[in-house]
Amino acid sequence: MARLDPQALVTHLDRLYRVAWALCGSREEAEDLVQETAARVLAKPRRLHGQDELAYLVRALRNTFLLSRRTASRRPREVATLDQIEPVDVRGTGAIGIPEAALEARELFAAIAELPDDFRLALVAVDVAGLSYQEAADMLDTREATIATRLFRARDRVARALSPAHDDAPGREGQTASRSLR
Amino acid sequence: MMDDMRTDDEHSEHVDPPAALRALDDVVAPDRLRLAVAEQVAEAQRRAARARRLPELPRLRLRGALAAAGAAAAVLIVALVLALGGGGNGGGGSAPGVRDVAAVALRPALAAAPAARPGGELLAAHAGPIAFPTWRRAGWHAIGARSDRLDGATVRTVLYADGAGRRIGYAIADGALPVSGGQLVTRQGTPLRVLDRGATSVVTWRRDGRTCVLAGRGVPVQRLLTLASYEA
Repeated sequence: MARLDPQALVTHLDRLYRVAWALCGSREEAEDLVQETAARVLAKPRRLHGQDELAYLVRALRNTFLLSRRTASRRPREVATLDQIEPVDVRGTGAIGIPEAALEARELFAAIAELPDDFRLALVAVDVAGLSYQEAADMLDTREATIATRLFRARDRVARALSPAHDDAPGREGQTASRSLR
Repeated sequence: MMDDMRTDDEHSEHVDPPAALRALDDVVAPDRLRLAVAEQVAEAQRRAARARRLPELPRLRLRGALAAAGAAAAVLIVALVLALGGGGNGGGGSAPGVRDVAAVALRPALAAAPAARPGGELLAAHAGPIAFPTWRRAGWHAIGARSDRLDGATVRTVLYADGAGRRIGYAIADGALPVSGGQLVTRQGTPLRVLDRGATSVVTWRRDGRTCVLAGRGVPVQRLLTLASYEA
């Protein structure tokens, strides 16, 4: 069975970064998420189980995102001392930096991050990560047709969120706006 | 449930992404992230190469708890031999070194920033007798913290950011960890060691029997030395 080549992280970095940004809605958190995912993936040799490298990495990134969100929701807001933090057994590297991106991209990522989970994950998997409908369905444990539906609605919602007029016509469920996005 | 209430449009499957979304393809990862991930990958490959150099353990022929215990003991012995004989600096042996601590110091925060103590100079976070500074007057502020165990050594880290959004990590590890190479610099009579690894600058010193490591990516080493001189 094929093993994941660690260099795949470098090869697909741009795409993973976009996926992370779309999930988090923040470029700084996206950087952290990509690094955390890389640390997890590189912690031991990984087998692909017939998956494409990109599909594997996107799934790992999504799992890391969901895990970090659950952890964050359990974490108290005020942490006074480092003694209260349970040490994490790690051995790896990482870094923190500041990316550059256009304002419109930031708005678009923010709109995607605001989507309900199911819609966002479908849109991120297909439109941002570039996975096929089948790969997205496998990753999200659902049917291809469901991916198509969620994708349609996710695109529609993003279009409405970005439309200047979307606040004026709340009753018209994205008919004009979704056309403008296309 | 909503998924089953589709319109005709929604049945039109495998549609290309809308133009606005295709524009996201122009967004690329920043250089800092690229460097960081490349270093993560390189470190993983070095680890794998080190593991391959270790003698093969007879674990495949052994079964049960006794076999696992024997294999674990063998691994421990090999690790001990390497640690004692190799005097590793984090790059060549199995004992953690300053470079390993620096890598941990640059990882994302796992906890919120510690609060400042009355007086504003120190944070309510410490590693043994050493309290972490606020470095407020130097233009930095704490943005998070993390605690790691690196091959048995506890490493406590506070992450800081400045007004320009640059981030550094100040990590304090238990014990005097090995370090080699770099450049020895004296600030206010205190010896500091500077290690440059591409875009990453690292300054390290010893205090109260512990190893202090200040690391930053894209931060001038002089700024790290200034901060370190307050602490050493």
